[in-house]
Amino acid sequence: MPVSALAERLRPALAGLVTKYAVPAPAGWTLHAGPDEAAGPHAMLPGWTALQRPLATGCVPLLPWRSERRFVELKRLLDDQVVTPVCMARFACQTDGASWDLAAILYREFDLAEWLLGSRLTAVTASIAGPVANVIVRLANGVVCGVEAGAALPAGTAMLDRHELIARRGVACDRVVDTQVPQDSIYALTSGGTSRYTDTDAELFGLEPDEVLLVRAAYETLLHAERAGALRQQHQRLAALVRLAFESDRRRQRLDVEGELP
Amino acid sequence: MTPVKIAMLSLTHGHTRKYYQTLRDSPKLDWVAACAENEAVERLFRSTNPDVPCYRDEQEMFERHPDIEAVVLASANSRHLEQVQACAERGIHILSMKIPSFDLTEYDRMIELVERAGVVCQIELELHYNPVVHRVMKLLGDGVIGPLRAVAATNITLSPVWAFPWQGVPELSYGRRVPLAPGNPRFRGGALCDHPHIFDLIRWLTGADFQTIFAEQAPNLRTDLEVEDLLLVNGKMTDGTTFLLDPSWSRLEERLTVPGPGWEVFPKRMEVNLTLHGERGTLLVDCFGPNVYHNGAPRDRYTVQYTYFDEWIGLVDEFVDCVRNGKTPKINLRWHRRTIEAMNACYDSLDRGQPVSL
Repeated sequence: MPVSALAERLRPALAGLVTKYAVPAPAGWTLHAGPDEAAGPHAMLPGWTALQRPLATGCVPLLPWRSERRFVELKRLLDDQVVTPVCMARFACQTDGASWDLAAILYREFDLAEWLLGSRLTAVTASIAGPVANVIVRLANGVVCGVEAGAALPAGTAMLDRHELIARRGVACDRVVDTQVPQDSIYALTSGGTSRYTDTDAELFGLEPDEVLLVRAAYETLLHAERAGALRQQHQRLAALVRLAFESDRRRQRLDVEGELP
Repeated sequence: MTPVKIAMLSLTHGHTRKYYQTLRDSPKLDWVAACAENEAVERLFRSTNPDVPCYRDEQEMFERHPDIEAVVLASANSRHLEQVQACAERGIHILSMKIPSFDLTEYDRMIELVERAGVVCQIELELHYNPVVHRVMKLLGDGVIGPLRAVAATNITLSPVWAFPWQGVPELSYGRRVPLAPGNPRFRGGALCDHPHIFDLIRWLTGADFQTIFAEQAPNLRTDLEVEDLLLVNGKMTDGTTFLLDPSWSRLEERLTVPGPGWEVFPKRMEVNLTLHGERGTLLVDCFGPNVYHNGAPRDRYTVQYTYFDEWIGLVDEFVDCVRNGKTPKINLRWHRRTIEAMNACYDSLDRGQPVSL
């Protein structure tokens, strides 16, 4: 779907939530699927789509995974010390490279590491081969996190990801034990093959899962307009961390984040 | 739209805690008061909701808060009729728990009271607002698997009786003490009474009603309960669809008096799974999955951390829409009566040891 058409599909859903919950949203907000059309204050767009070019003034880069409930629950498990203290994390994210290239995947996983674990990356060691990267990062709280990132799946394959948090007391994971691929809520087995569906949001039923997250993230941003500045700062940081990962591979060095980031 | 001023009655139902959050979060509701069934319930309520006026006498609550427009009927099944009557007399709308009554004379009295008073009475069956079920309905409507021929469904949970004791007392849960069968030491009022959802859902999925029902009870997992905790049900719908239902309390629990983390012994404490066979395909459905998983505090057991639970948003949306715009809820007393009849037929089948025709 062209990016403009995608945005046209999402804006009414977002407007519906804003109206339903009487959110005092700033006037002139817009939601975009990419950076081409995004301009002006309160223009929101997926952060990873703006990795290759500077953000227009006032644009708000969205980090939609922070609105995904499996990550919200994982974070809750850590914040409530159900699983504690985390010593190591193992993240994996594989795509077909179409909507998520390698840099976009690293952008997402690095943010998840910092957000879930509540600490900042301090060192990055990356080993990259074409569209695949094996990365080890260390966080300021001492946690070590492995990131398997790849954009090499066959075209049309849905994203496969897994996030495992290993603590002295317990392990938390967004994938069930003894499985290698994400499970779905519904499997439709017909002569045409097997189709899979996972619907998680009754209020936004009809949108694709990625679209739901984008709308939810935009809604949260309108609800908490004061967070826009922090989102812009984190975007700049993530973009720099991604560049640092590629630089680590090029130099074949473990690179400290401090001093390397602007 | 002006928020509906709402109160909660009794606070002894298993879903009560979920409503605390819902009544606070929803901008469509204004939670004005609550009435606790007993001192222990009141104490627990006040510890978590100190800002909500709490009473022990419903009459007093209604008199002090004449602006109450609606109530959540969060009580034992045996109290529903008197509470419906009290609400109907005051013109107060009702969001009822899932079993208004198993006594169909009482049930019809409720219909009469509600209709005469012109109030909304919505039955809380939250699967209707579950996004996975919405997808199932769409796939069936789109003809993805063709006409439906067979349904297998689970509605299995741990037993809530240790926290909500009335669910293990036949008179309070079923309405009277009726042995499951001649010579059977157990009584009606257990797991079946807790799990109407799949009986309702199959009517919704097929657009048909129950034709025959057969139920078989297994030996109780919890030998100290005087109500059933394991049973299976099969039969046919009027459109020929065959079904197999499991409405058991087949997941063991820690016997907590206040539900909380560490309640479950089996990792997933509540499951609604469906297998739908059509003429051209099959749907495998997990209405409450996938989730997030851990083996952390408090008991270090592998546990499902439920991740997608927003049915109450749609439920409240519909209730408020009905109250404000004079609509009839999908799950109203008249619709739900056939589901209650089917559940009673399960008990009749246990009593007779044979299928029952409806």
